[in-house]
Amino acid sequence: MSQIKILRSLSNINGKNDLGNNYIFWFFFFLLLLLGLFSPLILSRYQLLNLSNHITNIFLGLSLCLIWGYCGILSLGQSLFLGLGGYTYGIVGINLIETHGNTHVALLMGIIVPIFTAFVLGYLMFFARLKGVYVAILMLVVSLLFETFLNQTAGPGWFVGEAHLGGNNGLGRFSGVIREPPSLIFSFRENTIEFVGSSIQFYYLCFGLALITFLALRLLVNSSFGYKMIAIREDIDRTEALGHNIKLIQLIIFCVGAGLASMSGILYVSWGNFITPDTFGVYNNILPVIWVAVAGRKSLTAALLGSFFISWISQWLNEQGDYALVALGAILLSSMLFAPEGVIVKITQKFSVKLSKQ
Amino acid sequence: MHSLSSFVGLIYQYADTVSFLILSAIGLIIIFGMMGVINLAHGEMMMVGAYTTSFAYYSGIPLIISVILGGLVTSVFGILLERLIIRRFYGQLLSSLVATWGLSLLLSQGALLAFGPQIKTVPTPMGSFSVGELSFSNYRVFLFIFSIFLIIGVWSIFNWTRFGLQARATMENPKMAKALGVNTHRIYALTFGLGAGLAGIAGGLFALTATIGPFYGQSYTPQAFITVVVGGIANIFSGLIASAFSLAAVKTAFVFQYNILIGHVSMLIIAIISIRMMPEGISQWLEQRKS
Amino acid sequence: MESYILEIKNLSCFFGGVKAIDNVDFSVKSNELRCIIGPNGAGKSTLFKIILGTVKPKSGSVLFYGKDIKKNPTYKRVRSGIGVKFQNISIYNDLTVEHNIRVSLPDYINQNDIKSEGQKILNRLGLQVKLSDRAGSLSHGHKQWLSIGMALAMEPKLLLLDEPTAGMGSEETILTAELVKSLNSEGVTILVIEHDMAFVRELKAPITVLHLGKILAEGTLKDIEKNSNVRNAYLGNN
Repeated sequence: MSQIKILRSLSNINGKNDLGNNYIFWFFFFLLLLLGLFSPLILSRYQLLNLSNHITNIFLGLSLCLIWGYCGILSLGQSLFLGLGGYTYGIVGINLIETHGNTHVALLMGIIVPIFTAFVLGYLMFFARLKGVYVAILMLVVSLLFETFLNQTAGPGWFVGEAHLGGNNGLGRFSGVIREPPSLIFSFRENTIEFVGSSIQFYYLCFGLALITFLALRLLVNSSFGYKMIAIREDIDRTEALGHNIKLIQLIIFCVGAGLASMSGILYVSWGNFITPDTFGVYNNILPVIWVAVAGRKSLTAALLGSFFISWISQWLNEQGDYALVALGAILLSSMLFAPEGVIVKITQKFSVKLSKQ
Repeated sequence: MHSLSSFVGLIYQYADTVSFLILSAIGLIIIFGMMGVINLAHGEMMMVGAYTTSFAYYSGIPLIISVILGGLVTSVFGILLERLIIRRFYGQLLSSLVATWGLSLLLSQGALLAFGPQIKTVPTPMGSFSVGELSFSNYRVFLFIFSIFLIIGVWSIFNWTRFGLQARATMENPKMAKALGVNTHRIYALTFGLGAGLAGIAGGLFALTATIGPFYGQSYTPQAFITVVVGGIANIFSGLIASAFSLAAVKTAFVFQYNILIGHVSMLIIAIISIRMMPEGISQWLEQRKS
Repeated sequence: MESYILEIKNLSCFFGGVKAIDNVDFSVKSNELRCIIGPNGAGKSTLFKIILGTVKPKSGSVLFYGKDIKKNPTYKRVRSGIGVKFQNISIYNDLTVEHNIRVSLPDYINQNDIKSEGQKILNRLGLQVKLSDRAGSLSHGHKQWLSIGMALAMEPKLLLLDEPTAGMGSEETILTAELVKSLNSEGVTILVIEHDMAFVRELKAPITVLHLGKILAEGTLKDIEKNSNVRNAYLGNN
């Protein structure tokens, strides 16, 4: 009996609260899956390095999609949690790598600290019934505060244990002595595996995590919790009058979002052994908004694709010349004007209308 | 003598911070109060004002005219933006946030491409005065006085002119105002123009104290937003004044006692507490106490 | 011994700068069906909001089954058995009928039973719509019924209906009256705010008249119609 229950709840992966529930979607899904699995064989180390980087952005995009697209909480400071995750992981990693030989604790702290921060901030905001605009801006301001603070930490006194905060030079760089944040290292008994940014195993780690996260989120948004989240997005007062603890739901999802964003941060540090205060800055906070708003915020699939491809395109644009950022701003503005629900969402809607007409 | 100059220094700091907040926020709060749009391109409006002032000044135009020109050009630019872009987002708070942020990126990066990473700074006028060993800039004192007059001026516009009457009616109840024959489209455009113009003047005025670059406005925007959000829009004037004077008090006190960083942080913390206690802003809290 | 499901004592409240509720005493017995009428601005909707908890009174007490619920947040009150249909039809226009009902159902309903439970509610209301329809595409009267259905889905013991027939034609009004009466006969205590006197007539229930935040009169429809104070209060209305 319980096996049927599990099967039934797994069918939620194919639920209606995200784009893509038919065989066409799953066909392309498996195609991309295969492509992803075999790309290390086709691509050069350099290309793989870049690909991994773009994949790490997916978690940040999904986090914003979850809280904004599904629950109506716009945060213009989602990169705050990316930065907190990366810095915490880096600081703890630098301090413990010699004695532990692995980054288990660093990873744990890198996720806990952002989630705890989200809990405190979320409690302050949602339990004061702070509304959309104010939440968005408050998060940006808090993020900028961290940027301001960290930019001041270049001096010799700014050490956390063995980790030098580094000011705008970045974590772990202090005059001659460079103690970089380590890449992820997992160990079990005598076996260790290190996930350096350019390595194949790092690529598979990111790819695997992205896959699992995507599927897990699809389960979440199609569960009864997901339906409540969406109801909050649509009409928060009505949802409260239907007996739901809206403040708690918002707080929970906000913390989940922070956890997701922190994964982007940790993977980023593992990738480049590097993190700077501008992670907390305006530009890095607008990036996920661009990915998600342009692609379509109410769909996990759209947000995932948007995060990956727009990130990829902007890197390509950057290599062409100085117009990348202007182009990004123009893209964001025009998509809000002409496809406010998101480009991928709009295309899918038009496509399914065509299909149903046949 | 030492304590006198410290005391004067404290008052000076306080007045300077107040004028900083008032000037940064006044354009933003008018637009937010009228149309419920938080214009994330506010910093770029200030940048346009600063750039115009600098270009005008270095073309030989007298300083005062250059600043006024900064305000006017930004105002016209604002009206254009309103017509083309902003008006499509009324009533869509979050979309307007995102759209204006895209606009902000476009404008700042565009300025970077067009004019490079920095343009010529305008020298600070009016010289200085000293008390004891400390010297103070006369211009900063002027800015404080000007900001007070600016609030009074804008208040007068809103209370004594026909435009102001129509604007207040539209702010209270747009449908009613429309039914009474007010051309609300025009009011929105003019209000946005006013807000942009005020941002432009602020930008021009601050241009005489700071380096001017494409991201010039972004050093003012966060504090402008905090001031607006803490003040609230139930009554934009009482909100702005209460917010600016209290936030500045906190910041000045902590800067004086410790350092700039702690002052900044404490201001933020007070803002967070204030928002928690009075989610709709100080002005809403004051309005509720009246009844 | 009949028990009181709702007792309001010495309730006063300021709302929008006026004294919206002025020292009101109001009690409802279990299984009652009661109409609340009164001219615009009488404080009727405010009363509902205070019972629900979205508006805080200045003074007075609100007892639900004898317990003071003033400290309870809104969602807890709803969970303890108070259902509401607001004055403006607040259904989720952009979501499907199924999603609307799904969010209204209590947590203990199994995921797999949701479709059948939803269909049950639609049948109960006599709503011939599909679960997959977009709620915004329903006719006005159907939206009202869906709104009532959502309030019902939580299996409330006290149902607050604020103008359930606003915008309905006469046929739908009569159907709604039948629905309300039959719900009441199943054991749900119902308070109805209404302006439509035809509906009030159909309900054949005791009436409380509110005016300027005070209770002006209570009794049957006949008593109310004869009451000169009530006539003066309405002054030409109706």
